[in-house]
Amino acid sequence: MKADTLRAFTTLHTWTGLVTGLALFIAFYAGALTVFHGALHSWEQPATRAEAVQGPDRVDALRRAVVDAHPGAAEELTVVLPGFDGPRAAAFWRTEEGRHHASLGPDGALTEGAPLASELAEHINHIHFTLGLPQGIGMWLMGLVSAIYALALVSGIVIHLPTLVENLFALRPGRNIKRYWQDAHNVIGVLSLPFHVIFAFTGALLCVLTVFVAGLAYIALDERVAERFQSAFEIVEAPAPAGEALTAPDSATLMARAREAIPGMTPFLFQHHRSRDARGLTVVHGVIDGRLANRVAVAIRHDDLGIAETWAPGSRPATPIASSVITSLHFGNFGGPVVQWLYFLLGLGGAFLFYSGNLLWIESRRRRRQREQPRLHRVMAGVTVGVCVGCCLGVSGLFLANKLLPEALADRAAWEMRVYYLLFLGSVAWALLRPPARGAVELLLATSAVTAAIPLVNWGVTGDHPWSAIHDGQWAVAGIDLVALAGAGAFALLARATHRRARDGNPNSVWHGTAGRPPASSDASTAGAESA
Amino acid sequence: MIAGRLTAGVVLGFLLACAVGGLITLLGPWTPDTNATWAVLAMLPMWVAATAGAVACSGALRAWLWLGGANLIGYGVLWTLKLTGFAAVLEVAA
Repeated sequence: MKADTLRAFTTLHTWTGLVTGLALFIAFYAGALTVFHGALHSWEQPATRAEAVQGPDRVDALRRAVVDAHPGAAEELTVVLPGFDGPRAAAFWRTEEGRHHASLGPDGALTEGAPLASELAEHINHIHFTLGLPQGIGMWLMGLVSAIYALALVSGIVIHLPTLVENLFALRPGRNIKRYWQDAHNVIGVLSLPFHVIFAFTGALLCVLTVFVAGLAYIALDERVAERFQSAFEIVEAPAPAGEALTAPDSATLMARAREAIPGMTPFLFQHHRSRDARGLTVVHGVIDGRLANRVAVAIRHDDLGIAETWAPGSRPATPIASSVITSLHFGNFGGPVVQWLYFLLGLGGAFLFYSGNLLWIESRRRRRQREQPRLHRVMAGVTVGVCVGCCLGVSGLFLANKLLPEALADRAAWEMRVYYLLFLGSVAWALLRPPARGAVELLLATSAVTAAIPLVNWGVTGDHPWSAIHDGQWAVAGIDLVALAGAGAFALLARATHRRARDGNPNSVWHGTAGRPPASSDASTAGAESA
Repeated sequence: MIAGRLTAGVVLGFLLACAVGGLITLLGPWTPDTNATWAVLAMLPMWVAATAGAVACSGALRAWLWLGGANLIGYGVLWTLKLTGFAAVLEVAA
């Protein structure tokens, strides 16, 4: 390859990585956690932890209670079946005021909203796909970031392809820390490349599919293609009302009918259309294990229990198949716990990749024989530390807010997010105000402390500690507490490594403990071993 | 600097991806709906490939000319197909 071409791709890789690196760090860190959305939900709602999984009779009672209390919900009502996202069935419906949800408590009373006004799992998911920004802007931004990320991957492959095999296992520890980080960046990048390709591709499609559909429809073909795409995600159109009353069949019947239509299906969601009308129908959504395109659905008419439409393997249109494959690949929900843990580890590895990419950029541009570094490099170091460590601190803070904010606090779920913003923005400000290395050590220690407090606070507030949770079979609760402890240890180790680097590393680096302070006369200009 | 090449790739690369997507929808071997789904899935990789191709060009002018030419051919074929009766296929798709 020509030197000019290689240089152009290196420039492209560097700048696309820099532009998107911080956003991708947040997306990968929060994404690694949101792989365990169901477990987070169990940890989030202590009141439901000890409850038994509700049976079909409770699902029917919930539907009745919701429609009695809110007759408008009879038109469109979605019910997430028990066992999928907690032990309770959860009903969702829309009104002019917005989206509502409710469940039945153990005493059979209708509880509107979650038992504890918390949205911990949703907040982490929101941070994952919008960076914590308002949903519209955040999703568009993440779609753009994903597309640029794809470009960073292609340029990275072009750069490293000629020496790929040679450098793959060249992890060279030693005094040259920059080379060691470069090796680690390359090894993790290359080994997790398929995972990154999947994420760039599915992330962009999930966030900005409309851009591609609009391009195809309005630039190349015809606007009717866009209309067609819009309806392609619905298995059936909502039926017109008959005006004649008929209550939807009970849940056990609907599930049995769905399993009859699609053998092997595990239903997880009912979508009731006109649940009290003779023309009503219910779409039963489910999964089939062992497939990438694992989402299936069957639409059942209420009047005669006839099948209006089936999306089963072999009889699904291309659009729902593609949608199912994309969501499976993105969320890692196709291979059970092994794939989930793999996604978790690769997510954290990806976050490291973006953090190390930024550090390498700063290190490779520092003036090697001069103590005072350009202001841009110090700002970049501060922003990298503030955003990356601040995100980790903020997310750990969300867990504490879930347990420590007063239960009666108005707008409690929104306050949880405010705690995240406070910690995140505070970290960015702190990292910019302090010398980079000191700021990093302080923020890492704070993150370690806050993360270590997660299982302790959970124990103090709910009485559940990892051992008792394991004893009671609450694996999700025990898993989150133990991962938090491991995370606290990892942040502490990172703080120690950063402290050592600041103490013993090259004094001309922004990561040296004295960087950002006025140089003393004896070391203002010179040099030192270029090894660290 | 790669700004000129990159801009050519981002702008003309997207238009080219739309044109090729349109051709896949009209000429693909499956039903028009299935073709359109595959076309949309293929558009992002095509866009990224076109942008990477533009960056690989030796200069911005060359990138604009290559991609401009590819767009002319793509949209030329697309409109020819539509004008010569392939719009009927589109009717089914839409």
